[in-house]
Amino acid sequence: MLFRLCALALVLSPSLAVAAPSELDVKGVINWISDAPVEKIIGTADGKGSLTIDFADLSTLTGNFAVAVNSMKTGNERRDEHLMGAEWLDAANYPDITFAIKSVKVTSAPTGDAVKTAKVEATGDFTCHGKTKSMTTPVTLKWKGNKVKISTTFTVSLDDYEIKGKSGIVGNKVGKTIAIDANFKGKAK
Amino acid sequence: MRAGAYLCFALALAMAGVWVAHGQHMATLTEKLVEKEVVDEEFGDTEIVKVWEETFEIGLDIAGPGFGGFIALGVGLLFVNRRRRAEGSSPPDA
Repeated sequence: MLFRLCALALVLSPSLAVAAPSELDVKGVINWISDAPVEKIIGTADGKGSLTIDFADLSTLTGNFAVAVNSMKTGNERRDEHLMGAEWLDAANYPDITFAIKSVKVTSAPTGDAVKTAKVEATGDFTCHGKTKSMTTPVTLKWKGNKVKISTTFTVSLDDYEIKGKSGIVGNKVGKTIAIDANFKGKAK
Repeated sequence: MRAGAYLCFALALAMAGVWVAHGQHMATLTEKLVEKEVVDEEFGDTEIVKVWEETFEIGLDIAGPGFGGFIALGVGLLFVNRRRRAEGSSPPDA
């Protein structure tokens, strides 16, 4: 009898097992656009982060992302230096722009076979220029096996983070809001 | 002298034309983001990747002073030319 119970337990164990959340490190590129009447500035920055994700329950997703301010590029070195300077993002005092996911709402359940796609709304703390504000952003998740792609698009208001620049420049040469498109890729550990 | 002034005006116009043709940037671009469609073999989909490529697109930071400089030089040459002509045509002192 004991033997039969053990055998049954062995047979059922894989289906009863609860999938553990996967931890993964992600790397990515952030594309951003400042669209002002006088000039449209297009730039990039390098980002990285870590995620804990349970593919069976995406609402438990948590994670932290960071973008190094000194990795920002606009195609003009002098402008890049200004961007990192004290009047703008002040890279010396605030070297990273971060987003920490606090809660997630699944807006589109996973679809697909080999490659699964799902959409969620991630709410978290967005920190830029030393100021932290709560932000909700739509996120598209794609995964295949242990590989994950994450993309999101949102805007950031310079006023909200007290980024002033030189007097008269914001709203004229630099947009009041910056459109951001972030794409990350990673592999579960 | 006069020909030199006209050459300066022509160079100023040419510089303005190059600035307009290069996209009327405020700052000179030494690198430009170019969109490329690549196939993500891991996921089997295509994605648009933006990569920096070297370029030289003149901005107002160079074109502005250049334009102003050529105009100023042209006006200066015309002024000197007019003065010399005036001096050459003035009657000798009695």
